[in-house]
Amino acid sequence: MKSKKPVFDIPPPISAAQKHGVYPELNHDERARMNFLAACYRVVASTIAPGNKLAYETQALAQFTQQHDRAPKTRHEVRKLMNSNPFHNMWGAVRRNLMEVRQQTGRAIVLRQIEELAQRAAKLNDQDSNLTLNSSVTIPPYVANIDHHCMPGSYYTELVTGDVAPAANYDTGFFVTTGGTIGSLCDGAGLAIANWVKTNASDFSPKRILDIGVAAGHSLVPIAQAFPDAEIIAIDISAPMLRYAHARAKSLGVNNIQFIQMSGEDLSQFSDSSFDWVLSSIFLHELSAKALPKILKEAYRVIKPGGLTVHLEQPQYDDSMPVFEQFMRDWDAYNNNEPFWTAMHSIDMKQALIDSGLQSENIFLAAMRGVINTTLFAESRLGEEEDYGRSAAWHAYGAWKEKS
Amino acid sequence: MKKQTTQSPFDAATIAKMANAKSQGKRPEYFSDPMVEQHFSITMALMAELAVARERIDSLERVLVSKGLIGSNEVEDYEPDAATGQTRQLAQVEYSARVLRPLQQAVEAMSGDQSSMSDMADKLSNPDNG
Repeated sequence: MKSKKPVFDIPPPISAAQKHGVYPELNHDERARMNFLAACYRVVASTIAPGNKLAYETQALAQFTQQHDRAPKTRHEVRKLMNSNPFHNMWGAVRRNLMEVRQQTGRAIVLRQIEELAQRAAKLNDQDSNLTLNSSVTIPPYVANIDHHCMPGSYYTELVTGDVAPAANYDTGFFVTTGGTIGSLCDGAGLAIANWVKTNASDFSPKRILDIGVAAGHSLVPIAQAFPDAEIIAIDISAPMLRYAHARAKSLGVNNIQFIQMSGEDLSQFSDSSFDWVLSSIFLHELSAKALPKILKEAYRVIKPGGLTVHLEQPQYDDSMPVFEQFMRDWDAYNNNEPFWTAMHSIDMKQALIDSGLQSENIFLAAMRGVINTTLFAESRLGEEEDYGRSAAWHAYGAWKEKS
Repeated sequence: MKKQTTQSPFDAATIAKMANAKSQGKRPEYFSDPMVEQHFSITMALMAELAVARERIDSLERVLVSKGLIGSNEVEDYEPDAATGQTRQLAQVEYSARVLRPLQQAVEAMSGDQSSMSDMADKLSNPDNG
């Protein structure tokens, strides 16, 4: 998997991001700020981040071994050790600050046009039966109490009537933090899922699909395009994300998705065995140990016999993954406000799916690679260089529900 | 400058403050000294702003070139005459002196009377000492 020689691709400018009906306007200096962030993330990832391993191997490890007469056994031991390593802290300070500058930049962009964005979304969403908001949906504590990705107000806070600002901010920054590696519409994960299903289950033609935790719809839109005849239901707890996701999809010409404000923990609006396919994309790590099994159980209940479930995530930690790599992948949990990341990635997902009702022999683990437009973006970069938890190379934990 | 979309119930100063909002929860510590922490964050913010200023200058040069107001390598190939060269070097010296002010003051602090203002306040408040 390691490249023969270091690859340094220049991340595309924000002007290469594909615009759509609710994409915010960026002025010159806002674009420049985003361009700086993309470039700086890249330099940090390719030039500075490798120093963490060196600092561990040449500085911290000897210190630990001297004290304990053994190497660290868990990622938590490595974290405790590295939290006092000056190089690691300096790198961490740079990464954290870049995320904070990214949030400041995105928020400044959307706050100054917050009503214009709300109006543009409202125009696209007006009277459309494909968008159903429900203000009685309560924001679960794992979202209410955590501003994921250092995003003040998280996904759900509304500052004006019909607000879409959290989603517009999320969307604009997504292209920058991924450095264009998942495409001009940031849809690489969804393309990977669609591609995998088309390749590995060519006979499967789902009529009804459920996406849990759709957010701004980056992953779902390419799936809806790949299965244009399917009726797709997308749920999320955040009204701003749903307003934006619906308007965005519609302006991109995608009309086969129904967006509904609903928690994945309670799918009681849907009857048993009512979906051919239930999926989530880069979603499970933002839940809690209490919510995850509930959502998997609900998902199992609504899948038809013979139907498919797929949950896309970064790879799980297991004994084959060195503790140092686990520690690096855990960084975002503690430093980028994604605290369930660490517990989620050490869950035995196969067992979790068995516990939800699925049968062991029907469960699979599939590696899914990002699919991007190679005319704009260098495909060679995908997976060539380890960027702990941020590469466009995912694992899908999935299963076919037993036929009755 | 192009008029930009500003449809917001918040005025510019409020937006600047809101954009800076802190995310929930305790911020991780990367340095042992909280002041170093903040100092470093200011440095990173300035790094971003310098990148923005450089991109703006680059845009300006490219616009001037595209309008035929200057040649494509005119800025790159610009060589000041002797007097201008001296003036610019003076500006460079002034710039470096401004940025390195804290270090200069640290040198100055190593000689002369370094009584604290608290010592001076005590001294001046005492009718027998003032």
